Amino acid sequence: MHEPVLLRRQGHPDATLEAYVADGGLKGFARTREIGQAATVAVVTESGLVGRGGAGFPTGRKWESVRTAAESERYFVLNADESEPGTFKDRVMIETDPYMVLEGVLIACYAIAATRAYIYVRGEYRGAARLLAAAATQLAAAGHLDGIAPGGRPLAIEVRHGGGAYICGEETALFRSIEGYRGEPMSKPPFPTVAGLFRKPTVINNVETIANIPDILSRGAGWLQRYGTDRSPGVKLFSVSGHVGRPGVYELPFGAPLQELLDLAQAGRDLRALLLGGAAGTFVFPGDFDMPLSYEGAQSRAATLGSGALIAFDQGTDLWRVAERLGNFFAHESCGQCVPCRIGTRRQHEMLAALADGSGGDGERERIATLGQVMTDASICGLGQTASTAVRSLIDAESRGLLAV
Amino acid sequence: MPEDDRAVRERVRRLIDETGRERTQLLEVLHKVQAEYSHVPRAAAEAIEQEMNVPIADTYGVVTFYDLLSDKPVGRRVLRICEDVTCSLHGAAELAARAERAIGPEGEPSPDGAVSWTRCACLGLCDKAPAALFAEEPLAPLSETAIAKVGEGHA
Amino acid sequence: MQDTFAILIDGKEAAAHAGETILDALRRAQVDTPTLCTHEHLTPAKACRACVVELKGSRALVASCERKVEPGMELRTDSRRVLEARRGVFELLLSQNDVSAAPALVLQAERAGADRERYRGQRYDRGLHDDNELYVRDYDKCILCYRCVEACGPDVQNTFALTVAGRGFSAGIAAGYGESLPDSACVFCGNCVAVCPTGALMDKREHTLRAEGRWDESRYDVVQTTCSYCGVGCQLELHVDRRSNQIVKVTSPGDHSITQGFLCVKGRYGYSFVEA
Ligand SMILES: Cc1cc2nc3c(=O)[nH]c(=O)nc-3n(C[C@H](O)[C@H](O)[C@H](O)COP(=O)(O)O)c2cc1C
Ligand code: SF4
Ligand code: SF4
Ligand code: SF4
Ligand code: FES
Repeated sequence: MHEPVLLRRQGHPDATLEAYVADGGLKGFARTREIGQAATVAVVTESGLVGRGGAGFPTGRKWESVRTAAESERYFVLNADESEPGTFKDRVMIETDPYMVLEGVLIACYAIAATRAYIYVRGEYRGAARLLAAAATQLAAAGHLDGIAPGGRPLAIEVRHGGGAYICGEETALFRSIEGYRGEPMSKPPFPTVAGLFRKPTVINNVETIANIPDILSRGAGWLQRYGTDRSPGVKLFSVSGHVGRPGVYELPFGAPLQELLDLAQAGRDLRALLLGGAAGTFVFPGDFDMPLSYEGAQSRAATLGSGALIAFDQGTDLWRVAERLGNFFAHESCGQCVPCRIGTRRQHEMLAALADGSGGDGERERIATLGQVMTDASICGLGQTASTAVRSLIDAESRGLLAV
Repeated sequence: MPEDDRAVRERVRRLIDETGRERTQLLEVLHKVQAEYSHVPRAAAEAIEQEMNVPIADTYGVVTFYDLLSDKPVGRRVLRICEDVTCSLHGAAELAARAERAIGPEGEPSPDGAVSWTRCACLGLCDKAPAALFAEEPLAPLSETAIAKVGEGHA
Repeated sequence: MQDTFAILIDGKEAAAHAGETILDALRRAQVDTPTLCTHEHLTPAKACRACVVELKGSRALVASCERKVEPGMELRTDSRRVLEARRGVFELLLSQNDVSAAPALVLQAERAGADRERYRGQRYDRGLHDDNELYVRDYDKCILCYRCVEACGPDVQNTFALTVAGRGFSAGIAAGYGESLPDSACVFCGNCVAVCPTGALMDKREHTLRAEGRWDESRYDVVQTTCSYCGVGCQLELHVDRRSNQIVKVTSPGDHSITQGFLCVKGRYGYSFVEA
């Protein structure tokens, strides 16, 4: 049984700053102030932490490039836009331990000498936004934000509320949204570390990524590697929903078998398939339920962990109907900027609706695959580039006979 | 009507005063306007242009981009029913049909303007599926009874 | 970075200048590259994706109209991936848009081998906006290239009467607060019309003549003149119908040092006041 780390305060009474400090909170931040900026970033780099927002980029490397940037105006952004279908681990993380998340923010801001911190919470998460804002106020009142910003000024933390648009979880769209514009992604390069928010060097991190930071600082660079595998050190939060007995967020070390997660969530033995990694993830069939839940383990089965979302489907589920829902999601959430995604997600949805209704056939399957390649290759951002991933994995599974009842 | 517009502009000016005049505050200002008027009326965009130097067309582009904002009035309290994968496994389509009967056509405010309903993308409440938000707070799992209450104004 | 350096285009070495786009380099090397949204005097919108190329080291294809050259870049413009992506872009546009007034688009689509029927589906049905005397807007023809928004905004006009509104498939161009042009901030300079590549924006006179089947470019002479309304010295091209001696349209050359093709309401539409 894995003893939770990130979620260790689950079930504790309402989070207060006093309780957090009494339980060992803010030690990581104290350590940061002791060892200074360069050493803090070095610890994060050495820990092997990679982003939990989906892209898996080494966190320390991002921090280092902003820490050493020539420009003095820099920003830190906490990405709490969590809108990937089936994903709710960041909400649970914030509800469980808002102070641990904010301690991570303080450490990051101190390490990169951020001018200001923005916390972008999806507009539908009113409760999480209130918790973070209240915690930030408490930290400020207790003087914990003093001297973090350059010039010894107190750090300003602004909580921003998303407007209801999945695309604003994409980092450059999120910047546009904070700046007061339509959330239309920009091209990369330049990457955020070079020209991010307000075109200034910016570190943007996912909530779960940042929640790892306090322990990494207080327990040392090697701590994360006590969990997980060589190539995927640490623990991961999984959001489990669908046809399971106990839907919810589960924390496991990387590398734990998928079946263990299913057992924790009390999935029945008669599952037809899973959708792993959210709308941009892949379908996984029972033959692969022994898959190790690590980046390399998923990759070896042509799957992806993505945001760590897992949706379970029982034998009675029509997977083409599920695919139709995914198609609807992408068509609804495309920002509309580029042709392949704006029109492509619509056409994909139309074809999936035909397949779900039984009026489509091989023509649709073939066109979906061709279109998928066009969207993957020619779209501006990750939304269009991955809008066909799950659907294509389903077509592929069908051709391998995995959909036969 | 012009009197109304003047009052809206005045009120929005005050909202801007308390929020901030830089363009980066636009979404925060629009959230407040939406909460107050159940939409972002043109008069609000006029005040935003004067006070924040954001062109009226730009405000329109932003308002129509985000699902939580609207240029036409919605109900004072909105029921948002998730229609994504997990919730659709748990009867989202039937609940939406129920909402249509209890409240009326999707997106249209009830005659007294108190409520409207809409389908929406995943709310991140999949552990409590079928999920909904009512007046921006979770209402999950959503039930037929809860929808009926919303329709009758008892929620 | 040195000012001129070598890049590889389809395996052949070519010269590139620091600061220019890949598209600039492709054009100099005479590599035919389809483009729809990019415009020499406007910020690249990188929205149509017709100009994508393969860049070694990049997972997705890149828009050549926007991406700047870097020393040693290795590009492919003739790979199957590139050709299929471009064809797909045209096929998607053909599945949605009325292209009857966009011969350049149709020609490029044909060259890309686009099949009009591949992605049959719901087409645009947005109706004609005919709300003023100077130009009409037919957004069924719009490919959302962003040119009009940029021309009306910071790139040229600074009027900010236009925006992209909505999201996804229903994203489209709107004036003001989703209202008629006269109700919006529009000053009727017609610069949006001048840059529109699809005929979605069209002078009212041209639109009327086309609708009546009386638009016939073979009958029009182009007369160069300097606008006499003010002292700026904008160069005008009067498109004059030889038979009736009527002006049917006024444009300005895109390479003119003062106008770059852009005019004000008096220069572009003054003739309609004169003749009305
Ligand atoms: C369409 C799209 C949606 C995304 N949504 C989120 C999100 O909701 N939360 C998140 O943290 N990252 C999201 N990302 C990834 C971010 O762009 C970015 O990589 C991440 O926030 C970086 O943080 P990390 O390095 O800590 O993972 C999204 C990416 C794309 C392409
Ligand atoms: S891929 Fe889709 S979401 Fe991304 S920029 Fe293009 S239209 Fe917008
Ligand atoms: S005519 Fe001129 S002012 Fe009017 S919308 Fe077009 S570019 Fe803008
Ligand atoms: S109206 Fe014309 S210029 Fe404007 S976006 Fe559409 S096609 Fe481009
Ligand atoms: S011409 Fe390059 S994206 Fe349109």
